Amino acid sequence: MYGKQQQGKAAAAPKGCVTVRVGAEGEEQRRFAVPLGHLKHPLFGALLEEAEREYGFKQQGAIAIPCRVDRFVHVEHIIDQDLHGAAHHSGHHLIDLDDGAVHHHHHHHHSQIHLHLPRFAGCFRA
Amino acid sequence: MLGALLRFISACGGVWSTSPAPASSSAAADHAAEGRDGLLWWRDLARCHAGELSVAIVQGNNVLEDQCRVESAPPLGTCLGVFDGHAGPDAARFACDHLFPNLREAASGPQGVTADTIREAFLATEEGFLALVSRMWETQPDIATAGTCCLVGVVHQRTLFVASLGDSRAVLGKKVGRTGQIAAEQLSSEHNANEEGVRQELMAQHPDDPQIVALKHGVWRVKGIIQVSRSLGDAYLKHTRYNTEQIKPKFRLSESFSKPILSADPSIISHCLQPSDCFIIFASDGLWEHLSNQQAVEIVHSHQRAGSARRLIKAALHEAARKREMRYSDLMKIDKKVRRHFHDDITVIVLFINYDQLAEGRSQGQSLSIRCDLDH
Repeated sequence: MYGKQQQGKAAAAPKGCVTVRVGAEGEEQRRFAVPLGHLKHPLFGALLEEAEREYGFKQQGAIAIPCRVDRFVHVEHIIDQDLHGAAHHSGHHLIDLDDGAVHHHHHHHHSQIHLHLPRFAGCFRA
Repeated sequence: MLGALLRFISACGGVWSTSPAPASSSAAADHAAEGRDGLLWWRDLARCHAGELSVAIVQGNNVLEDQCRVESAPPLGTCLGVFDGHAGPDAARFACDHLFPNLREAASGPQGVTADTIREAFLATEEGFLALVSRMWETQPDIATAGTCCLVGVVHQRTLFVASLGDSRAVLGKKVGRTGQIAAEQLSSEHNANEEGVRQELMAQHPDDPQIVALKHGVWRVKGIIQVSRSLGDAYLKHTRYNTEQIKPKFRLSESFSKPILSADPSIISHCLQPSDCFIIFASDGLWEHLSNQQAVEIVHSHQRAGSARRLIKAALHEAARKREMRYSDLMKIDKKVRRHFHDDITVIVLFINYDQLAEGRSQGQSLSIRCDLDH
């Protein structure tokens, strides 16, 4: 209900997800929607601890994670595999909110990141 | 923005209110609902000497650091305490256990309840905690870095005392003439380095230390470590002997100090209650980072009394979810291990003043004692 009030800014994450802004120093931040279930995974916990050390708890807006985007996607992939094994259930994956840039009338245009990176393809098909 | 928030809260009101009975009806008070849902605990309404009150608390930290307590009995009257601990729950729990007994003792002398006896009770509690730190230092050095904000309200006869250490806040909701409107009046001063006045005070007290306040993570902190300038506990910033390698590196100071950096001397106001004084909201800073004083008093004023504290917490959590760009329903599912990244512990006590009862000197017969049972 609130997301729609923010003109030009990304709306709230899809249901069941949390928005994070990811980027190391000097890198452009990229927004992702992370499934709630990933938050209590120890690897994600480590990213959040890093965010707290860097920015404290009082940061404004979506949680910023000081981590390179490719490393973040890699960690997310490991978490995904850890939680769901090789079998993929739709709706439980990392979503790149900046992919496709402009959000039109609905929020169904998020692309899901999995299998995008060639070096992971083998893992999925094993 | 405020309009949308209030409309939302109104929508929620219907869910929580099972009875359309007038807010102050005894039926509502006698069947005061107490409950918990995950990390949220509440006592929707209870009667006390000063009128009625509503209490709620939500956990944001992995181990709850906020504590709250209500004691209402003669001869003191109604005593409320909100204790927002930091670096663990030890200091807040200690203050919650000892401050009111110390107040009873201090007020048992010929002076009775005065600003001086309240100050005495704060200082006795601080002394007690520092003595505990001293005893436990060898085996549990982390206790030297535990501290707590303390916000205490006492309604004794027709006087309201508000005493505070730290950055919890008491806000009075006051009727504006006969307009039906409500105005917010802040009763407590905040000892937080983000206040310009507090930084000035610290710099005046420590003229030889150019680093007495420093910006970290975009917020002003005393010695770059802690936001509050007054607290109970935080022994490591009161006695230099605890500034050793036994405490965590993030609390270490590079140099020793000769006088306490933080103070345990509370700010105390006394306020003669007026017929237009409707209610007072006592809350830890977790609430005030999401709601303004005016937003909070309007939420309380535009609904029935029962469930007021819980309603304020839910409004703050809706705002926290909005800021984090997620849904409230999803926020509520987040495990306590990582919940702190989304909101702080939040404690709220709303005290509804029954002026006529106080003015006529009629006190309610039964005594009241409330302590939140989250994490106990």
